[in-house]
Amino acid sequence: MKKSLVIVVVALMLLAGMQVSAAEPIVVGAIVDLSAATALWGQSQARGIEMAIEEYNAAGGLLGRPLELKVYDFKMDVQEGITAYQRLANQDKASVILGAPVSNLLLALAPIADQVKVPIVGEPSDQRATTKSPGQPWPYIFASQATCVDYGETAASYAIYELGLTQLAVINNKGNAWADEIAEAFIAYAKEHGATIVSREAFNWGDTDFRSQLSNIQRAQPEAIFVPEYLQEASQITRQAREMGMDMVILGPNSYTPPMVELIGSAADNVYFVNNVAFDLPQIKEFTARYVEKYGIEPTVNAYFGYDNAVIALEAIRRADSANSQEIRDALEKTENVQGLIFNYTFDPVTHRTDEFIATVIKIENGEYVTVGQYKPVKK
Amino acid sequence: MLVQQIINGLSLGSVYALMAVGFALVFSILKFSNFSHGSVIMLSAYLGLWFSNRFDVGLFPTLLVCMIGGGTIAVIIEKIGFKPIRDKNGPLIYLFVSSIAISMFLQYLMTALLGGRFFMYRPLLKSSSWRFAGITIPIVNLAMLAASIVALVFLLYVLYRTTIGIAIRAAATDLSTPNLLGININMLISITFFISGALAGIAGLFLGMSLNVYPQLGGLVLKAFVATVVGGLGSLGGAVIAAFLLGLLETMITAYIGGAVTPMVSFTVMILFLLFKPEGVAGLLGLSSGSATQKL
Repeated sequence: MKKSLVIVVVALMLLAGMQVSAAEPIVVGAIVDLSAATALWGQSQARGIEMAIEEYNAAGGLLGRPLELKVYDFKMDVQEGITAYQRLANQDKASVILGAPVSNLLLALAPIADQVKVPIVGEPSDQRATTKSPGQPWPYIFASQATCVDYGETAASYAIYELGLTQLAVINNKGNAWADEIAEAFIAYAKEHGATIVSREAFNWGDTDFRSQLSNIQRAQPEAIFVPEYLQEASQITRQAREMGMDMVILGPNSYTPPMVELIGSAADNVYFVNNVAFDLPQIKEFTARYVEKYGIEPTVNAYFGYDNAVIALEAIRRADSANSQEIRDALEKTENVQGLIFNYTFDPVTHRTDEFIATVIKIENGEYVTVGQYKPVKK
Repeated sequence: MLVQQIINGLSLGSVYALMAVGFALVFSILKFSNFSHGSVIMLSAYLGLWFSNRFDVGLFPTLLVCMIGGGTIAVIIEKIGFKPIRDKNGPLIYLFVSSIAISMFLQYLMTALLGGRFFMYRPLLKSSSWRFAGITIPIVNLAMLAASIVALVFLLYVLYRTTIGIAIRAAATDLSTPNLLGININMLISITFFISGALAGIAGLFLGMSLNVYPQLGGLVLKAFVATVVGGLGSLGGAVIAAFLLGLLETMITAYIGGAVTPMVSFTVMILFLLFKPEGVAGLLGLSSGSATQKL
């Protein structure tokens, strides 16, 4: 009698346990910078992710389970990012992890993810973050964004073939892998296509005064300066260059998106930049309006990437019909026609990235962002 | 070209100098590197931004508010973060560690309160630079140069011509002597922190005007630290001279060798001074005899 009671109790407990596990949320991790140099981007990205997760939860979650988002701040410190990744994988049992908008962290995480085996969807533009060796991807890293090479080549091609500028200068932070990759791609393309790099200047993390480098550039008399830099550095370089009377074309990457004009005003005029997002797309406008209403602040492009990374990852869970990291990884590799805000994503299984990058070139004119149009670099 | 690079170097040096004076002043009395100086600069920049926008006022009222605000913040930091350690006669390293902790705390506090957003001052100056004969002089940096010279002259006056100054100098030699003579040492330290904070307030306003306002703005104080070490720890005159030398050195290396190696050179110079000339530029120039802290 007593024995059978024990069995009943145990059975009930097991049942209860199973019920709990059936409703147990699928954990989605995110590693973003919420408090250091790129916090503006990280916060925007975290909110984009949050909006995607909320949408999926409002529609009943996935596999009959709710989604739980766990966000860690890595403070722009690679070591903190690695700790966060391991914690998400081992302690929080995250099924998939959404990564930071900077390449440095994912470069470090790629080999670790190979061991820990929880896939990451991020937007590192450094191709080494997704490519282990030519033709062989890092198995657990996926990127929703084009590579630095695409950015650098697009900017160089636009300058040479559309603006007719061939005397070019480049300035970037040698310690910033992302900036340096773009700069190298720009230079390689420019040289191959008959342009001349008349000046190449470098600086380091934390530098705020670029007048010495800009004086050198000024002396070389370029027709355009390429500034593949983060917001703070790009804004200071552009402002200081204008103060020094250098009113030539400045070319840049998507760091010139808002709030650049707000920060440096008319100094931002005569800037052409390569953007990954076409702001006039209806879904972008609609999302932006919802974002502003919810958070009371304009998003940076990272919000769109955060949202899209989440959608790519969650659709992979849906296709895999599993919260198992390995099966999600396999499904991510087969990402096809997943509609995000920025692109319709189809991943190339060899590069683990969108198979085709179409940039949008935007000009800043009288303090306004004017979309010039979509542009693909001229290939030889 | 060379003339422009020298101006660039002096302009960078004036940024370092303004930070280094306040940094060196506290070192001369309490004998520790006060890294919370950077967060006073950062907080003053936010304060000035808020004040100039809220009340729609120009440069000078904002400067005054930044100085008073910076001074007050520095005194509060001293009362909360350093005085308890001093009261217990804690080792100097505790003060140093506390100053780093405070600066991190305040940086993350501002990030938590306002986010990592960049804020910009509306133009408080009519134009941002002067250009003539192909030479560009950034006005904000010129203002910083003027401010660091005025601050230094004012400090010299206070230190050598007023009773408080004599007391501060006495304290710089030995913290217990003025106490024995019946001088309120806590008041003296508060005054020192207020002056140092007011200097940070000036730096905060000008840095905010030229570099945008963001939580990591105070990070530049690291260069002020290098200048203070090279200048001869605690020597105000040495710190200012070293700040300009550092600005010139960095600019010249960037201009003629390349920006990638500049920080290596700056920190190598600092290490060399620590190894071979710990009394710094002040010692080289005979600005001080014996202890680097006795004279300016």
